[in-house]
Amino acid sequence: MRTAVQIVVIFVVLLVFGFAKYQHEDRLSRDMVSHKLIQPPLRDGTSLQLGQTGAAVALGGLRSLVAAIWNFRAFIHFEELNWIKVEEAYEVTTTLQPETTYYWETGAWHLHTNASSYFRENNDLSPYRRKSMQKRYIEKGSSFLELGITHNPDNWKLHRNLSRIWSDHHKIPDIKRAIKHFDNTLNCKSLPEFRRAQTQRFKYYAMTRLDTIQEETYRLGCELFKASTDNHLPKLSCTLFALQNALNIPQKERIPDSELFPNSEMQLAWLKHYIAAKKIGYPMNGVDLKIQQLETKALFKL
Amino acid sequence: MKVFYFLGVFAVLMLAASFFEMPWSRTTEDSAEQELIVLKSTAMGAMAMFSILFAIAATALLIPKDLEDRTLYTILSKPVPRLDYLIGKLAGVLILVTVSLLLMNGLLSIILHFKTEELLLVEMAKAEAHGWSAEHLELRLSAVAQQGVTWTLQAGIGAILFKAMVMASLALLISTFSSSTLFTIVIAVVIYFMGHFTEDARNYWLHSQSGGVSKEVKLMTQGIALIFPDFQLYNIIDSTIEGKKVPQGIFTRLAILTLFYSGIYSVLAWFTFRKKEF
Amino acid sequence: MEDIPAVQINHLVKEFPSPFRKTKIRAVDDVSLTIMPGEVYGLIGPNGSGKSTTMKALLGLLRPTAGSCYVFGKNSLKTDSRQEIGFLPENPYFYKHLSGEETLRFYAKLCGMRGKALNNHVDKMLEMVSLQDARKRRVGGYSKGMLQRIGLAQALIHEPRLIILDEPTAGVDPVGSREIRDLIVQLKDKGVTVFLCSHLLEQVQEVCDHVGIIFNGKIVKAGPLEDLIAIEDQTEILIKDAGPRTLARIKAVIADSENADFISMGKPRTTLERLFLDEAKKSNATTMTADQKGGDRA
Repeated sequence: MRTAVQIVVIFVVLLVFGFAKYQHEDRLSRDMVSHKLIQPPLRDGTSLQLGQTGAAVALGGLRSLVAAIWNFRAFIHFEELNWIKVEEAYEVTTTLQPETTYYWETGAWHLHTNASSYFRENNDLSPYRRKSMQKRYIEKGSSFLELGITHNPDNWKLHRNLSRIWSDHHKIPDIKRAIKHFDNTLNCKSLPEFRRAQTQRFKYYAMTRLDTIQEETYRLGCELFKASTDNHLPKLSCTLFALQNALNIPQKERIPDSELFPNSEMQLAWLKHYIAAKKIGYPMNGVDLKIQQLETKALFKL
Repeated sequence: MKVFYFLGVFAVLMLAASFFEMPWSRTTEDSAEQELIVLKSTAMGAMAMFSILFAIAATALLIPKDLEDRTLYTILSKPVPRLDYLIGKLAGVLILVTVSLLLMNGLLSIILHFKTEELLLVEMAKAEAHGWSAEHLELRLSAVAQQGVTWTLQAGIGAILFKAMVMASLALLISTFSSSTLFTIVIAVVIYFMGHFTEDARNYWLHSQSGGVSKEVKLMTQGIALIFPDFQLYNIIDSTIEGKKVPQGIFTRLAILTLFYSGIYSVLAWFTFRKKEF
Repeated sequence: MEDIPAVQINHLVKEFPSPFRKTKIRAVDDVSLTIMPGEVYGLIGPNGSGKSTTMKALLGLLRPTAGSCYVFGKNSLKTDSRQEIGFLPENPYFYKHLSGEETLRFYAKLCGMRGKALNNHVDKMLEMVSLQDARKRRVGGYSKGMLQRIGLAQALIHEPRLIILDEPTAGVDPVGSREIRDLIVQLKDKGVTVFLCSHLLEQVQEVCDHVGIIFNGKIVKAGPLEDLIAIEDQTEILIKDAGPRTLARIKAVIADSENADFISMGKPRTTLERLFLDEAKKSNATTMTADQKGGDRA
């Protein structure tokens, strides 16, 4: 009897103090969310995730450890080539630590590179099935990164990974898609300055592989070439050289070969190297001819 | 005494974790940070678990043990106010938790320091090998150093202590009217888990826009939000492990909230213990 | 000052709720008793008769359902009434990891003692209960008798004017029991009021000067021991070296008198306790001399 009365009193007191505390808690919680110290509370309609999130939430202090263990598990599944388990393990890992780029990157890498090439090279499958499974896992890797981006919108590394997937000629390139992701990477505030030029160049290289936008590509190429001598790299010079031919740029407006290349020997070496990568889809207009001319010239010099 | 065995286990765990290496991956370049995070997480996970379990179990055992051994009679038959007795017991548990956390913190800091130094050297070697720009190296070094020994990490350990403080005073409150240790522990653990949903309940009550919620659900979420402490707030522990900075204002407010919770629970514990018969 | 009773219990009633039934169990039913300073009061009764409940009420560990308890005029529900009380519960246990000395220091601090006074008191108490040799040993390793003695020391640490003992010799061997009894007598000589609960009647008889008998929560008889146990119409004569003839003559004298009746005659028997103690002392003495040891043990 006494105990019952005491418990009622305790509840009443807690309720009364509850009214004193809840606004303070609410404000503190929202401040923590805005500083990204805790995860935002569940939104309406996400109660399905309650199980997972609930477990993550109550782990308090153990979350990253459990995530690391799942990451390790994923690695074991990877060694067993059990791709479904790998995928599951990374889903758990990233649920636990959604802001860790490492897990998104590694998880996606297992899917879009390891799993997809495993299927591509699997001789037990029919050629059609090989292709479709390869494509499927590349898509999976890509959407895994997209999911990571919804958690970390300004993470340049995740955007860059996406652009890499879709411009990778070992995979199934989708240049338009890749260009979109390059743009997203460049729009990230988190992108360090020393990475900017490189990213722009990569975007440009991807663009050169699309012959429908060659004018735009050429403008960007010139811009990059003029922006800094750091950009005077073999591939940039060679693509500009080919694009000028492709677009039939009048001689006066062209960047002369003497500017594009350090000297004619280097030009020959670069172009020879460049033409070897023909199958990637870079423009090759006039490259063959130039190589022949340069080789003849070199022969006469001797 | 058993606390010291735990500290021994902790030391072994720390050494094991310091040899941990992330599985190799081609695409990522920040595995050094992850290794440090795993080390910190192992340590702080163990610290959090120890302090919570100890706060609940030890506090739940205090009064029943004293009663069983009749030590309680000899103490309360001295001119000792019952509030003093309760506060003394609670303080004892908290001091033990604090000292253990300090020791573990010290060990973690030492191991983390050396591991960070080691990884910084690895980064510098990489920079040399790959010809990174100064800016690039700078960025990498600061990213690794951010996961080393920092004040942020101390804030996380502070949060662990705070959480243990709330749990200990809560367990003390339950044990003043519960008739068995098991009951105290079970209820404390249930409240611990419920406390992680206080935030969701409060949000549902305060910020939910959807109209189709029944009155009962609304009332229930309101009740949960008011009665239970919000343990989600202490999950800044996880963020500190990931190296995120905790603004001082937020830490102070968390400390105040902790004092508020433990204060209320202690006062209520005294309320039931004041007239308790033995 | 001395006319304030050390203990005054007025119409104490204590009921406990009984599970599964509406009626309550009445553990103590209208108990009143007064103990004046310097008295040694023994409350005797079988197990479950309400002795411990009465004591706990006096210590403020229980709240009376009705009636009241006072210690030197202070209500026992107030913390400061405990200033004057030392309590030794039945079969006490202390914090196992503390040594005897630390245990006493702990209790002394609870009573608000600090510094030199504390050290002096701890030493004095350890000496009084003959535990100087065991002062550094952990209480967890103490024997039952030692526990009881350290318990007594802790009860006396703040020099209370009233000491309450609950079955002080329960489970202790006769030698230890005797030591505790001697300590109680010492306390009495110092003028400390003793309130003792026991069901070992012989012991109570040896040390108490006032006795109350409690049955089913009620005091059935109370008063000075001598008055209670004297058999008014009988007389005991002890004679040393009396021959058969002397005895026959005494018998004849009794037979001759008008209203006296002869009841019995025989050898007086020592109590088993006394016999045991004598033998123990003898064997102790022989071992001591055999070992050529200084007899500094009490």
